[in-house]
Amino acid sequence: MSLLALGREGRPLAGLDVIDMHGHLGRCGFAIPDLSAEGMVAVMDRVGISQIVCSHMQSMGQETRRGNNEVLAAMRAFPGRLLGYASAWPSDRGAVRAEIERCLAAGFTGLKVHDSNGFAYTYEDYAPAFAIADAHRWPVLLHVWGGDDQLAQVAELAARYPHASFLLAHAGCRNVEGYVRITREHANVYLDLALSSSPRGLVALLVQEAGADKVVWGSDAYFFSQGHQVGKVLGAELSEEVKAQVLSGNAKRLLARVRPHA
Amino acid sequence: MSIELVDAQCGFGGAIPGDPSIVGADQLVADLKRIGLTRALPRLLPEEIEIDAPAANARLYAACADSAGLSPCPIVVPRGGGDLPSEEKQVTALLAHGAASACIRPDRDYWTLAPWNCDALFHALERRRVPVMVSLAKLGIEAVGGLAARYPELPFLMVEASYRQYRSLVPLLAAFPCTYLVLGGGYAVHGGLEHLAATVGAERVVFGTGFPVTEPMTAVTYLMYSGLSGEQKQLVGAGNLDRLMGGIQR
Repeated sequence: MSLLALGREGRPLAGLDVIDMHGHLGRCGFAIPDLSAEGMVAVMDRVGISQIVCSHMQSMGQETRRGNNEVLAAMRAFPGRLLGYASAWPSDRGAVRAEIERCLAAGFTGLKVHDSNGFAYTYEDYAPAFAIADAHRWPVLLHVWGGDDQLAQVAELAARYPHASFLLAHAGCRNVEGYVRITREHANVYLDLALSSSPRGLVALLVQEAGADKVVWGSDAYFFSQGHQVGKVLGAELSEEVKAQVLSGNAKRLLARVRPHA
Repeated sequence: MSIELVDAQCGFGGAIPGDPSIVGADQLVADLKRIGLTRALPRLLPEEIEIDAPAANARLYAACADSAGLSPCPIVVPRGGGDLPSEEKQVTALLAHGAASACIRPDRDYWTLAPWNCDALFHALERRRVPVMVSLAKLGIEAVGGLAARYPELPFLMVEASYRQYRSLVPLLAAFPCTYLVLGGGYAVHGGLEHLAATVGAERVVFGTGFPVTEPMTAVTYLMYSGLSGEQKQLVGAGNLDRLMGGIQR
């Protein structure tokens, strides 16, 4: 049965080891009826998603330590299913280093930075976080909305921290050319597909332009339902092999590079 | 379990400013067939530069007449201004063309939702129980609530909902039994289908995809991977819409 047919019938994508590289836990301003990690895992089981890497909604705010603690609790409740992106409020370099090192020691798998907190990705006090990400080959998920300024910051970071894997969220929301260009120019930059609007044809276009090995699936759960967001890949005009690569293979490769805390 | 899905949020034939390509009815039919759908209620979409509602309706009727399974959803407009047939004639005409719904575009057709402007239109639709598609993105939740309060016997199919509206959407559905949420587009509330089924009932949700703008498979997997029962998925997929269309007084 094809992946599209499985989705049409609502059957789990068994055996595919789907990995969601863009998830969230915690509360935000608009209503999400189920804020539990259990609820997220239940959806994962129905869809056939093996793992999700989650940051906390506080990656957009200042209570990053509380957020990281809540993510850690979920990681411990669902070991191997829920992985963690660490975040830090850039009050000063020392605080950032301490928090990210704490998360590294606790088993987090990556770094999430969101510029809605008012700080550019290149803000100097973030440097210790990126240095740790670089040293441990972490995926670094950056909220990007296609702005040339944001993409320029990503280019600067990707060059400075060549061992980290930079995932650009919401790829193709606008400025498709910008997203594709930066991905082609930097071996360690990848495109994340999380986008509620899910434009028809966008997934296939990004794969065609950036390369099938540079596109990873992310849902933005639980802003959005994973059941909704997986459909854009299942329905894309792509071969089964490429769909599997986007849903699983590329993420597996990125996560396999991660050097855990010694 | 094979669930029939009927697309209540889709369209073709409209142009995007600056884009020479136009999605035709044949593309809608082909894309729906690819994901296992055979019936839809298309509108003329995108609508940004569709400035002539009667002409748009004529194109929609002609295209749907050539495609089995497509039930046109034409634009209806209050007559005030003297350039259009009466509201009663508009409703009679749309039913004669096989339509089972209508849509409104107050901003594009330059009218207001004030009762003195559009009472005749909505009463004409209400008398025949013709479901009306209203855009939550363009009208806003409060305006839709106002319409539902004024015309409680008229089914309102709410399209273009955003996941960010959920905190107001649930009370709206609870307050006005004549309102129905149409899935599709960027509507992707985590746990939203299950919560809606538990609070207002799966009978109040109608399937739609958001074609041609949105990848239609996202709505399919949103429903099919939800925690709804098979019976509830059947209702959302086709049963609720079929019930509403069956209530039309032809």
